[in-house]
Amino acid sequence: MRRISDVFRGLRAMPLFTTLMITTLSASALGAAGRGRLYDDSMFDPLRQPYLSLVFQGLREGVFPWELAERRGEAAKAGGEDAQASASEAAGKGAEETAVESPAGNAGEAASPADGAWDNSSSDGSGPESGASSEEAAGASEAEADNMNADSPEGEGTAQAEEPQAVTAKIGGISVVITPAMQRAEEEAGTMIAAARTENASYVSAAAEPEGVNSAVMDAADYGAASARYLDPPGTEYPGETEGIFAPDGNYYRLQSVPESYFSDALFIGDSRTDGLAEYGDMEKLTTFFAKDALSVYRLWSQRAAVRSADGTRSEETLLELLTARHFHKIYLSVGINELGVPATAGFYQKYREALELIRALQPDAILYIQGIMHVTRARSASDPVYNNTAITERNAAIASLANGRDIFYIDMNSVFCDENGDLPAEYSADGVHLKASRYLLWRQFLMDNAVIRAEELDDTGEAPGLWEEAPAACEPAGWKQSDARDGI
Amino acid sequence: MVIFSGAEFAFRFFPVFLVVYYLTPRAYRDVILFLGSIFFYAAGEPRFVAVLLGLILFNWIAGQRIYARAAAGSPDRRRARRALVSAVSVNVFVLILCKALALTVSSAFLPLGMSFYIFRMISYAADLYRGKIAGRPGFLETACYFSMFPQITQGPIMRYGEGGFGGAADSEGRPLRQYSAARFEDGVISFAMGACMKLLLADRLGILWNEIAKIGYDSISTPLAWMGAYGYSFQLYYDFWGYSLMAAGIGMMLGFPYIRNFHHPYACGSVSQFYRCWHMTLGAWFRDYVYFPLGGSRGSRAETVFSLMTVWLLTGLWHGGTLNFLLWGGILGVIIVWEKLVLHSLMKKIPLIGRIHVLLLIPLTWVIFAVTDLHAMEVYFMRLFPFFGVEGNVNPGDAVKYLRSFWPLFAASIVLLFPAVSELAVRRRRSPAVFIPLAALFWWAVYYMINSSSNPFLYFSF
Repeated sequence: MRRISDVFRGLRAMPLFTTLMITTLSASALGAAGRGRLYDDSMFDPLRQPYLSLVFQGLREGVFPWELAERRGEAAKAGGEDAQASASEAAGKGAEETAVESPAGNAGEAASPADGAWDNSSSDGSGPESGASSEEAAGASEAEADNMNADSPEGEGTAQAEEPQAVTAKIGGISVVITPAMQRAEEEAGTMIAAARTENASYVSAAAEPEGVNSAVMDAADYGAASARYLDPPGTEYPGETEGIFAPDGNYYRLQSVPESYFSDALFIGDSRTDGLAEYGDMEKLTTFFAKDALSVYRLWSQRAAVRSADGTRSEETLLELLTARHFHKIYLSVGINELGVPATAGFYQKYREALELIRALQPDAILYIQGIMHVTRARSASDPVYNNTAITERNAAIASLANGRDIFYIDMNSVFCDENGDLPAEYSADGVHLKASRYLLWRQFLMDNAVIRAEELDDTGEAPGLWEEAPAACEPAGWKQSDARDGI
Repeated sequence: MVIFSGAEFAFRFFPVFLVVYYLTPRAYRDVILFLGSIFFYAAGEPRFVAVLLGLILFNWIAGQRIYARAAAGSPDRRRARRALVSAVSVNVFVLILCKALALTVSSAFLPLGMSFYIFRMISYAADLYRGKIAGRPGFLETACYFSMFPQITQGPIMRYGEGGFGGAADSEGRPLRQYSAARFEDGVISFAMGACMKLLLADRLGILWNEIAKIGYDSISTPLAWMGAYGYSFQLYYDFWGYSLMAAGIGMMLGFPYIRNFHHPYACGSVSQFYRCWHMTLGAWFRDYVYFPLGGSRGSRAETVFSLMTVWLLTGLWHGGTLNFLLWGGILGVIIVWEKLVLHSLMKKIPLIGRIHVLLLIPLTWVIFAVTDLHAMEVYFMRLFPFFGVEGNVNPGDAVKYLRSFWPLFAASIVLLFPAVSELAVRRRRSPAVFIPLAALFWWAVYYMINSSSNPFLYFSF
């Protein structure tokens, strides 16, 4: 008994130590109790990390320890969540099996773009697929990606084959908060998306990777609102130096120089790199930005970000609010570097695709630009197991395949920025990832040099006269009024 | 694991070590300390454990020779001196070799903490020669002193006599090493305070400096350049002061006395005083083992200038091998010589001059310290002093933008510069008004500790 009282006396002499001990033990107990239940522990290593680190990681993700009690109380809710997770896992597995059974011709198909691995065919009805849940679709695409990996000469098939389930879990862990409003809107858009969703989703493998902008000959996909409005008129002949994109249907789309006013009805969506473009690209008075550090396809719809408009107004909105409230004619999407932290291209591809579909549903007549993920510097690429150019190239090949050359275009600044090894030059970036302020003007120039103009704005000479005039107002340039130019064509 | 403000150290290695350490009888605790230190070092620098062990053995043997000859009386003094010179030369040679290899071939050639433990080895040899170490040091005590993990990576450069090895006592006869609840608690307090400074202030402020590099020095506005200079100064101060407090705290938890490394440098009235209060153990090392042997300030003016410039150029080189560090040390040397020989009487009359030196010149010297590339440094100074106009892609609102998110860090940094603030907290450390907020701040710091390092996939966000 004396010993025990000695211990207590000792602890009273050490108030901070005692406080820290008690709090450490409580936090550790919470971490241990919530492990696997409340907290994603897929990367937890008890030898190197304390249990309480789960609690703190949870806090960062917006998961509070007291939710453990709530979850225990609401057994149904917890059960539902588990069921959801296992269902999606099962869906992934199931899809994997079917994909394996099917003739493994995807890689071959993808290599010859004219065949159109996906899809061309959706215009003649995508009804049967409309009931597919997103989990199933995710599983299917991952499984097919696997299938392709297994077929690829590089091998690594066995290592990759394990991934889809882990990916699903991880993505589930990361995309945390989806508000009810967001869910409703997604459901509303769901019908349109389902209509647009194609049957054999797949993406072009690295073998068919486009080199830069002008050789990006993509399979056409139909997102439900494709129209012929961006086509040059039939029979138009172009001088040899004109560059553009051939769509699979044989039509030719011009990538051409545009004046600043082109961006007045555009929206730039992106991560910190786009944020830098907003800040240093000398575009703040030209266009609208929706940019936030660490924005990714996984959190595209759940995060609020600063919306900077050309007229100087600023607000904090979700992308859904912005796209519902306002109307844009061009939307530039530039995300993908943060997503490298989440393994497997297939899951990323699927999320990116869903994002495009939702954007398309909300903005039916906008030109969508998929911006290739900008490469990192050689030093960064060589030293970083995650954020390197090998990974970026793979991801770019995946998202490039989402362009349809009709109303969705893939543009890739790497062809202009990078050296012959595909590395971002060291003098362009201090941290290897972000452009220095002075270099953002290059990106701006690239965007001005690689744009698509709608046929209705072109006159007989193939120019878009209104676009080159001084824009009368920042938001409504003459070039975008419904002109009679179309009749002239 | 070798970073005190990392979860692996604070919640894995150190608690386990503490339990083993205190379960071991006092007489054998140095064994545990030595083994634990070697384990700690091997976790951080597995390739160079042999180098460390080799140097420990060499310096112990050399120390035994110096001790035997120095203690034998004056006839052997010369031989003791020879032994000292050879021991110091070997240590200096190893340090220069590794630094040169690191500079020319690969930074991997500079073993973790070598700048610090070699300096400790030199002081050990010199202290033995000068008879400042009472009694013949045993191998275990020596090995412990050289390798002890609380100090091996970044100091402080404790003297052998301060460590209470072999039961040594202070001038009043109290043993230096004390295992008491009071000292342990003081260690916990010191560690917690240091962790808060490092994780809540220094690491957060570091984001600003990274942002500035990201933008590129050619594209920052002049206000942002100044904000960056002060932000970096605060970052460096709270990083190193915080680290020193953590190291001292760990030492105290193991029974060692408190080793002071910082004493309110920004409250000092001159640059020379500043460096008596900044990284004090390094300054004292250069004073005792370089400046005084060179003659100190006892000789002629020219000799004093020579000693000061030597000390400061060496200090610069010790911090890093690139030109900017030499420049940094050289400029500080010039300022200190200027203060000592020219401004001395004027500064006594007008204390404001010294204050301006500390609060204006010191942050500018930190810019030289931080920017290793000379051309980039030139660009940065052109931004600080835009006499030649401003080119580049500058966003004039950048300083306001960053101030909007960083002002709380700047405010806290400035408040902590006043000596009264931290001294009051230390004096009242047993009061709930201090330890409860400190515990809360510590957990806030742990939030950053966990979330900035544990999950590599979530660490970067662009």
